[in-house]
Amino acid sequence: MFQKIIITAFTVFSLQALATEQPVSVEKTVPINDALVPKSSKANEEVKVVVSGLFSNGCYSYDRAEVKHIEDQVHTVSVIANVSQGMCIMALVPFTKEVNLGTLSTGNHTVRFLSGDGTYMERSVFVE
Amino acid sequence: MIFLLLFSLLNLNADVSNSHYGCWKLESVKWQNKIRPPFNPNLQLYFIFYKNNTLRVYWNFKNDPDTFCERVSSYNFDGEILDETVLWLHPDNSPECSKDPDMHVGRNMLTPLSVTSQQLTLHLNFSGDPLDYIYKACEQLP
Repeated sequence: MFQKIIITAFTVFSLQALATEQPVSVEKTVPINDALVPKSSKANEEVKVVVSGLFSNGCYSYDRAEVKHIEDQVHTVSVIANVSQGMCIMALVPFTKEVNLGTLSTGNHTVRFLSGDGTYMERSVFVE
Repeated sequence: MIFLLLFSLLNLNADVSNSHYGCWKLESVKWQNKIRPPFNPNLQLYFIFYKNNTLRVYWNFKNDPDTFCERVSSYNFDGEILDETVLWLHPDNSPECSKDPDMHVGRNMLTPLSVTSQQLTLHLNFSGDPLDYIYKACEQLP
Protein backbone atom coordinates (compact mmCIF):
# COMPACT_ATOMS: atom_id res chain seq x y z
CA MET A 1 0.00 0.00 0.00
CA PHE A 2 2.79 2.36 1.02
CA GLN A 3 4.63 1.59 -2.25
CA LYS A 4 1.49 2.34 -4.30
CA ILE A 5 1.11 5.72 -2.60
CA ILE A 6 4.71 6.64 -3.35
CA ILE A 7 4.35 5.56 -7.02
CA THR A 8 1.12 7.60 -7.32
CA ALA A 9 2.82 10.66 -5.82
CA PHE A 10 5.76 10.43 -8.24
CA THR A 11 3.39 9.90 -11.21
CA VAL A 12 1.44 13.06 -10.29
CA PHE A 13 4.66 15.09 -10.07
CA SER A 14 5.98 13.64 -13.36
CA LEU A 15 2.74 14.47 -15.20
CA GLN A 16 2.80 17.97 -13.72
CA ALA A 17 6.38 18.46 -14.94
CA LEU A 18 5.45 17.21 -18.42
CA ALA A 19 2.48 19.55 -18.57
CA THR A 20 4.68 22.62 -18.00
CA GLU A 21 5.26 24.30 -21.36
CA GLN A 22 8.81 25.37 -22.00
CA PRO A 23 9.75 28.37 -24.17
CA VAL A 24 10.99 27.21 -27.52
CA SER A 25 12.95 28.82 -30.29
CA VAL A 26 12.63 28.48 -34.04
CA GLU A 27 15.30 28.72 -36.70
CA LYS A 28 15.14 31.45 -39.32
CA THR A 29 17.35 32.41 -42.25
CA VAL A 30 18.27 36.07 -41.79
CA PRO A 31 19.56 38.56 -44.36
CA ILE A 32 23.03 40.01 -44.04
CA ASN A 33 24.06 43.63 -44.62
CA ASP A 34 27.51 42.94 -46.02
CA ALA A 35 29.92 40.18 -46.96
CA LEU A 36 33.68 40.47 -47.20
CA VAL A 37 34.95 38.02 -49.81
CA PRO A 38 38.59 37.79 -50.95
CA LYS A 39 39.07 38.74 -54.61
CA SER A 40 41.33 35.76 -55.13
CA SER A 41 42.49 32.63 -53.37
CA LYS A 42 44.63 29.57 -54.00
CA ALA A 43 43.25 26.15 -54.95
CA ASN A 44 44.78 24.38 -51.95
CA GLU A 45 43.60 26.97 -49.42
CA GLU A 46 40.29 27.26 -47.63
CA VAL A 47 38.25 30.27 -48.73
CA LYS A 48 36.90 32.21 -45.77
CA VAL A 49 34.37 35.04 -45.94
CA VAL A 50 33.04 37.40 -43.27
CA VAL A 51 29.32 38.15 -43.04
CA SER A 52 27.77 40.93 -40.97
CA GLY A 53 24.29 42.17 -40.28
CA LEU A 54 21.78 43.32 -37.70
CA PHE A 55 19.23 41.27 -35.84
CA SER A 56 16.01 43.24 -35.50
CA ASN A 57 15.54 42.47 -31.79
CA GLY A 58 16.98 40.57 -28.85
CA CYS A 59 15.02 37.39 -29.59
CA TYR A 60 17.45 36.61 -32.41
CA SER A 61 20.77 34.93 -31.78
CA TYR A 62 23.31 33.64 -34.28
CA ASP A 63 23.27 29.88 -34.67
CA ARG A 64 25.29 28.93 -37.75
CA ALA A 65 25.96 29.54 -41.42
CA GLU A 66 25.03 26.85 -43.92
CA VAL A 67 27.20 26.52 -47.03
CA LYS A 68 25.88 24.62 -50.05
CA HIS A 69 27.83 23.94 -53.23
CA ILE A 70 24.93 23.96 -55.69
CA GLU A 71 27.25 23.78 -58.73
CA ASP A 72 30.99 23.32 -59.03
CA GLN A 73 31.49 27.09 -59.15
CA VAL A 74 28.30 28.38 -57.53
CA HIS A 75 27.89 28.32 -53.76
CA THR A 76 25.23 29.60 -51.36
CA VAL A 77 25.58 30.82 -47.79
CA SER A 78 22.60 31.08 -45.42
CA VAL A 79 22.91 32.64 -41.98
CA ILE A 80 20.62 30.82 -39.55
CA ALA A 81 19.43 32.50 -36.33
CA ASN A 82 17.55 31.06 -33.39
CA VAL A 83 14.47 33.15 -32.61
CA SER A 84 13.19 32.64 -29.08
CA GLN A 85 9.43 32.70 -28.61
CA GLY A 86 9.40 34.71 -25.39
CA MET A 87 9.14 38.49 -25.06
CA CYS A 88 11.69 40.37 -27.13
CA ILE A 89 13.97 43.24 -26.17
CA MET A 90 13.65 45.99 -28.77
CA ALA A 91 17.23 46.69 -29.79
CA LEU A 92 19.20 46.09 -32.96
CA VAL A 93 21.84 43.43 -32.36
CA PRO A 94 24.88 43.53 -34.67
CA PHE A 95 26.63 40.31 -35.66
CA THR A 96 29.82 39.55 -37.58
CA LYS A 97 30.87 35.98 -38.31
CA GLU A 98 33.54 34.20 -40.32
CA VAL A 99 32.25 31.49 -42.68
CA ASN A 100 34.49 28.82 -44.17
CA LEU A 101 33.58 27.86 -47.74
CA GLY A 102 36.21 25.13 -47.83
CA THR A 103 38.70 24.56 -50.65
CA LEU A 104 37.42 25.43 -54.13
CA SER A 105 38.52 24.34 -57.58
CA THR A 106 40.43 26.72 -59.86
CA GLY A 107 38.38 29.29 -61.75
CA ASN A 108 35.88 32.02 -61.05
CA HIS A 109 33.38 31.21 -58.29
CA THR A 110 30.08 32.86 -57.44
CA VAL A 111 28.98 33.05 -53.81
CA ARG A 112 25.32 33.88 -53.12
CA PHE A 113 24.33 35.04 -49.65
CA LEU A 114 20.66 34.07 -49.29
CA SER A 115 18.27 36.39 -47.45
CA GLY A 116 15.57 33.86 -46.71
CA ASP A 117 12.97 35.66 -48.83
CA GLY A 118 14.13 34.46 -52.25
CA THR A 119 16.59 37.31 -52.77
CA TYR A 120 20.35 37.12 -52.41
CA MET A 121 23.56 39.17 -52.48
CA GLU A 122 26.22 37.94 -54.90
CA ARG A 123 30.01 38.11 -54.70
CA SER A 124 32.83 36.56 -56.76
CA VAL A 125 36.13 34.97 -55.87
CA PHE A 126 38.81 33.82 -58.30
CA VAL A 127 40.72 30.70 -57.31
CA GLU A 128 44.20 30.31 -58.86
CA MET B 1 1.45 11.41 5.61
CA ILE B 2 2.56 11.18 1.96
CA PHE B 3 -0.81 12.64 0.87
CA LEU B 4 -0.39 15.51 3.32
CA LEU B 5 3.06 16.21 1.88
CA LEU B 6 1.71 15.98 -1.68
CA PHE B 7 -1.19 18.36 -1.02
CA SER B 8 0.94 20.85 0.88
CA LEU B 9 3.40 20.97 -2.06
CA LEU B 10 0.57 21.44 -4.57
CA ASN B 11 -0.92 24.20 -2.40
CA LEU B 12 2.45 25.92 -2.17
CA ASN B 13 2.65 25.87 -5.97
CA ALA B 14 -0.83 27.43 -6.16
CA ASP B 15 0.20 30.22 -3.77
CA VAL B 16 3.28 31.02 -5.84
CA SER B 17 1.15 31.15 -9.00
CA ASN B 18 -1.26 33.61 -7.41
CA SER B 19 1.22 36.10 -5.98
CA HIS B 20 1.82 37.73 -9.36
CA TYR B 21 -1.50 39.63 -9.37
CA GLY B 22 -1.41 43.41 -9.39
CA CYS B 23 0.70 46.18 -10.86
CA TRP B 24 4.45 45.84 -11.39
CA LYS B 25 6.89 48.48 -12.62
CA LEU B 26 10.30 47.81 -14.13
CA GLU B 27 12.92 48.74 -11.56
CA SER B 28 16.19 47.17 -12.67
CA VAL B 29 17.74 44.59 -14.96
CA LYS B 30 20.19 41.75 -14.34
CA TRP B 31 22.71 41.56 -17.15
CA GLN B 32 25.97 39.62 -17.10
CA ASN B 33 25.29 38.71 -13.45
CA LYS B 34 25.08 42.37 -12.39
CA ILE B 35 21.96 44.19 -11.30
CA ARG B 36 21.81 47.67 -12.83
CA PRO B 37 19.25 50.31 -13.80
CA PRO B 38 17.28 49.74 -17.02
CA PHE B 39 19.34 50.41 -20.15
CA ASN B 40 17.10 53.36 -20.99
CA PRO B 41 16.70 55.34 -17.74
CA ASN B 42 13.62 57.09 -19.16
CA LEU B 43 11.72 53.87 -19.81
CA GLN B 44 8.61 53.37 -17.65
CA LEU B 45 7.38 49.82 -18.20
CA TYR B 46 4.39 48.39 -16.36
CA PHE B 47 2.84 44.92 -16.20
CA ILE B 48 -0.63 44.70 -14.63
CA PHE B 49 -1.93 41.19 -13.95
CA TYR B 50 -5.68 40.93 -13.39
CA LYS B 51 -7.41 37.99 -11.72
CA ASN B 52 -9.48 37.28 -14.86
CA ASN B 53 -6.26 36.12 -16.59
CA THR B 54 -5.84 39.38 -18.43
CA LEU B 55 -2.48 41.15 -18.60
CA ARG B 56 -2.05 44.82 -19.48
CA VAL B 57 1.42 45.94 -20.58
CA TYR B 58 2.09 49.65 -20.87
CA TRP B 59 5.25 51.61 -21.46
CA ASN B 60 6.29 55.17 -22.18
CA PHE B 61 9.26 57.45 -21.64
CA LYS B 62 9.62 59.99 -18.83
CA ASN B 63 11.00 62.53 -21.26
CA ASP B 64 8.27 61.88 -23.87
CA PRO B 65 5.13 60.80 -22.00
CA ASP B 66 2.85 61.20 -25.04
CA THR B 67 4.62 58.38 -26.86
CA PHE B 68 3.40 55.10 -25.48
CA CYS B 69 2.66 51.46 -26.35
CA GLU B 70 -0.05 49.42 -24.70
CA ARG B 71 -1.36 45.92 -25.19
CA VAL B 72 -3.83 43.65 -23.44
CA SER B 73 -3.34 39.88 -23.49
CA SER B 74 -4.91 36.78 -22.10
CA TYR B 75 -2.46 34.77 -20.05
CA ASN B 76 -1.82 31.66 -18.03
CA PHE B 77 0.86 31.38 -15.37
CA ASP B 78 1.71 27.97 -13.93
CA GLY B 79 4.27 29.27 -11.44
CA GLU B 80 7.13 29.04 -13.94
CA ILE B 81 6.08 30.05 -17.45
CA LEU B 82 3.96 33.03 -18.48
CA ASP B 83 1.95 31.98 -21.54
CA GLU B 84 0.57 35.16 -23.11
CA THR B 85 -1.48 35.84 -26.26
CA VAL B 86 -2.04 39.44 -27.38
CA LEU B 87 -5.75 40.32 -27.74
CA TRP B 88 -5.86 44.11 -28.10
CA LEU B 89 -3.62 47.07 -28.92
CA HIS B 90 -4.34 50.64 -27.91
CA PRO B 91 -5.54 52.52 -31.03
CA ASP B 92 -3.39 55.54 -30.10
CA ASN B 93 -0.19 53.53 -29.80
CA SER B 94 2.89 55.22 -31.23
CA PRO B 95 3.62 54.06 -34.81
CA GLU B 96 6.97 52.79 -33.47
CA CYS B 97 5.13 50.14 -31.40
CA SER B 98 4.50 47.95 -34.45
CA LYS B 99 8.26 47.37 -34.76
CA ASP B 100 8.03 45.39 -31.53
CA PRO B 101 7.06 41.80 -32.42
CA ASP B 102 5.27 41.57 -29.07
CA MET B 103 2.91 44.39 -30.09
CA HIS B 104 0.86 42.42 -32.59
CA VAL B 105 -2.58 40.89 -32.03
CA GLY B 106 -2.38 37.10 -31.92
CA ARG B 107 1.28 37.02 -30.90
CA ASN B 108 1.90 34.20 -28.42
CA MET B 109 4.83 34.34 -26.01
CA LEU B 110 6.17 31.82 -23.52
CA THR B 111 8.37 33.60 -21.00
CA PRO B 112 9.88 32.21 -17.77
CA LEU B 113 8.71 34.28 -14.81
CA SER B 114 9.45 34.10 -11.09
CA VAL B 115 7.67 36.05 -8.40
CA THR B 116 7.94 36.77 -4.70
CA SER B 117 5.91 39.19 -2.61
CA GLN B 118 8.64 41.79 -3.21
CA GLN B 119 9.51 41.41 -6.85
CA LEU B 120 8.54 39.88 -10.16
CA THR B 121 11.25 38.82 -12.58
CA LEU B 122 10.88 38.11 -16.27
CA HIS B 123 13.70 35.86 -17.44
CA LEU B 124 14.36 37.06 -20.98
CA ASN B 125 17.27 36.52 -23.28
CA PHE B 126 19.20 39.05 -25.28
CA SER B 127 20.60 37.44 -28.39
CA GLY B 128 21.21 34.19 -26.52
CA ASP B 129 22.45 35.71 -23.24
CA PRO B 130 20.26 35.77 -20.12
CA LEU B 131 18.71 39.13 -19.27
CA ASP B 132 16.32 39.52 -16.33
CA TYR B 133 13.79 42.34 -16.10
CA ILE B 134 13.11 42.97 -12.41
CA TYR B 135 9.83 44.62 -11.40
CA LYS B 136 8.63 46.06 -8.10
CA ALA B 137 5.02 46.47 -7.06
CA CYS B 138 3.42 49.72 -8.34
CA GLU B 139 1.71 52.10 -6.00
CA GLN B 140 -0.23 53.74 -8.81
CA LEU B 141 -1.59 52.41 -12.08
CA PRO B 142 -0.26 54.14 -15.20
